[in-house]
Amino acid sequence: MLRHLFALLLLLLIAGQQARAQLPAGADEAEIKAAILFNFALFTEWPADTLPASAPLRLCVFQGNGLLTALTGLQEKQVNGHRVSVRTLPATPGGAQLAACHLLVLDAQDRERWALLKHDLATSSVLTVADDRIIGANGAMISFGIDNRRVGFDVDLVPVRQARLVLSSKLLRLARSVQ
Amino acid sequence: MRTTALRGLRYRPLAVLLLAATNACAQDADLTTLPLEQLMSMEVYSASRFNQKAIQAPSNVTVLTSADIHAYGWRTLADALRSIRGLYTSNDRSYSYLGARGFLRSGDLNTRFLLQIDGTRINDPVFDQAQLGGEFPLDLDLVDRIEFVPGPGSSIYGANAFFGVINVITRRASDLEGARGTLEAGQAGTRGGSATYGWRDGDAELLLSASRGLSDGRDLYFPEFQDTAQGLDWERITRLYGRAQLGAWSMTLLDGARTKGMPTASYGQPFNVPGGQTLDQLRLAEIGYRSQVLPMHGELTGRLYHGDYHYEGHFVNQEPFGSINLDQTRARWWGAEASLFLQIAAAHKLVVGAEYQYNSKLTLQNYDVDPHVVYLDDVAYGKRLGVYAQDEITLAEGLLLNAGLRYDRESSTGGVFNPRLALIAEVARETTLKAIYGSAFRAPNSYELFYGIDGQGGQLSNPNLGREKIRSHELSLVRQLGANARFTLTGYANEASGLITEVDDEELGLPIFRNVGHNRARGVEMEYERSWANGGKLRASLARQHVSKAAGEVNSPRWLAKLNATGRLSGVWHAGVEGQYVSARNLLGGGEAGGFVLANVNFFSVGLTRHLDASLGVQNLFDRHYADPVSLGYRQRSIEQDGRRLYFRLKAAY
Repeated sequence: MLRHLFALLLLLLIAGQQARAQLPAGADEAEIKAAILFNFALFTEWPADTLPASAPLRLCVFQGNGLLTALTGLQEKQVNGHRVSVRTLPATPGGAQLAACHLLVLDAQDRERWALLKHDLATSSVLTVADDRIIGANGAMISFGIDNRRVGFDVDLVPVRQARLVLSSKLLRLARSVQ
Repeated sequence: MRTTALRGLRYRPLAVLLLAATNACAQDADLTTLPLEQLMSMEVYSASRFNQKAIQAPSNVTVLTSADIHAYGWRTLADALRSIRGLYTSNDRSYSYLGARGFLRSGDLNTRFLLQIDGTRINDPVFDQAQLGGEFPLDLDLVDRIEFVPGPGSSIYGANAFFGVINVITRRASDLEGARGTLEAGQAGTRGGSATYGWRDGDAELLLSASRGLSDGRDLYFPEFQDTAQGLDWERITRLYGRAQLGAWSMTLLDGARTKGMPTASYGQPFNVPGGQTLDQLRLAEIGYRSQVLPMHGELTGRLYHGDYHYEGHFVNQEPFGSINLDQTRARWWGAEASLFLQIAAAHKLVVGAEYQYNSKLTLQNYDVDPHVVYLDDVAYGKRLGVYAQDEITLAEGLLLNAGLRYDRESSTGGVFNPRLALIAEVARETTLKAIYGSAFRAPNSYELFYGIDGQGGQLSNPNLGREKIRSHELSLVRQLGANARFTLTGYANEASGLITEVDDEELGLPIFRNVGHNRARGVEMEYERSWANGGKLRASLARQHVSKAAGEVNSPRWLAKLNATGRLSGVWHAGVEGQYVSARNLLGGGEAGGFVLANVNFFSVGLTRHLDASLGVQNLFDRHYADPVSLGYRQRSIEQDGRRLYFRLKAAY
């Protein structure tokens, strides 16, 4: 019996060499969300007046955000010819500071200021992404959710259109829901 | 054997690390280079400060996640555990029993496995029972993962960690935010539902859940009685759970009650007469503390808990016919525990901890209801105390020593030391060799010590019982096959002595528990795990075990084989398939229960609509007839298990 076991073991070891090229099947939640967020930037079109060619793409987030560490990893990456620049916002950002963002990432700590933020953002072209249920259900453009241990997202097209943003059909197809 | 190595023990870290290990490369890979589809099919793990890889853990832990529970449609903890390499289960239509490494005694209530929920011991102090069937007090929908740590674990966990430790870790509110509900209907009159509410704001969170399940059961024909037990295999389950957390502090309340009809006419009851049933209710209240703001990456955890277990067995008397004999047990206990993790140097990690439990009341009662006749009324008290340390030292590049020692003192049997030593060496690239030596013990429980009823059909108490001991040697080879596959080969030799065994007393001819059992087991286990980028997963294992004949052990299959596979079928629809082979097992008093192959399949949706998901599960797909060996209390030597059963489930989340 032992001989068979070792034969099988050997077989698996050999088979394993081929498997090496495979990609990971799991990762840290924040890292996955950051990478998906990077894809949001990839599949969103900003109006040319807010994001001129080769200008940096500003990703804004409040200090203390749960994704901050993971998002910092996106710094300097290239999105359709734009360099990603991660900015941390002060607790009460000015209107100009907000409008300078292209992407704003929010989580549960931002619930109280969200009503005000939403009002300030109404006339600008900022893609709002919520890693929080409450903000997600309250007018954020994209909101993260977890199903069956996997990250999914829902899209609310009404604020997206108001902000003159265009999301690619691929993004909409992969969303859990679009409303 | 808190493999988690040394830190945080019992809570979050262990599985996280292990899971992370199968995918160790994920940490290094740049996820932004992956296609969006793939990112969305990746499993998420919470971040862990302590990045020990599973491959370095001093045992070969299996982790089953909530995704596995969902994929295979497991209904009980026993369903989940039986998919694990080297484990098998048995059911006598009252309780579920777990066997490991060729050892399963039907009727002894899993006393040789330690069962924990979020690190708190669930084995009650009267029977030491690990509740694995419908009597397990937590809804599986609330389980984040199940970790099975094989082998003796007394060097960290103390008593009952004899053949293995089962850690059940609950899901957090962040995972279950909002309101959720499930509805279920199935064959044999199965119906049930649950409601869960999760809320979080900053570092405060709350999770509340209630569930109820009913099953009528089928009519069962028993050849030994040449008759059918009609409508007696019913089951009723109620479970409540609440957990609140504020910063470092948490509070948990748990209440699970299960009532099960007895269709088997066990313990001399008349056949097919309603009234026989068992109730098991476990309640637990706990306050926990966990802080990570110490020097040396330290982490302090502490907990205070109170448990209450209630068992009530209704047995139908032959004489006077149809009257009820009540077997009642009540246990109350208080406990406190603290542990501290420190990373003394980069190559040196230490965990120290202490645990104390006071069993304030252990009541054993047996009486006829009408006419009222008392056969047993015993009240006992007890306590147990344990202190332990576990040290992990990197001796050289790729060579790790993991040493643990624990001292336990129980009021019934005094003090005992249990060591554990593991040497973990990276012998080649991605190939790790582990040599593990460990010992464990189990103290006799109140039932074995003090349950005595004189006269016909009674049994004798034995307050002089001593501890059971086990020593185990294990050698295993773990080979990481790229980022997403792993092969494990393990060989072990166990030697258990002083096993508490029910025998007939020479003078009085009544059953009595004595430390006479001796068991020597050897075996080889191997497992292959693999995951795919599209979310598919495969786990296959084979185990060969041999238990010395002298022990006269029953219920010990030579071979076990398992296969679990899950993946997407099309669109939102997925399937989970499992197959299990258990070879023939000897029965008490001779004969054997034939080997069998069992297949289960579960179809489920992920994201059917934003709020709704459905699943359809079929257990025993091919309607195979198979039977499990049972204990001496039964006229049957084996009990036939369920045929094909279909379950349909709807889940809504808002």
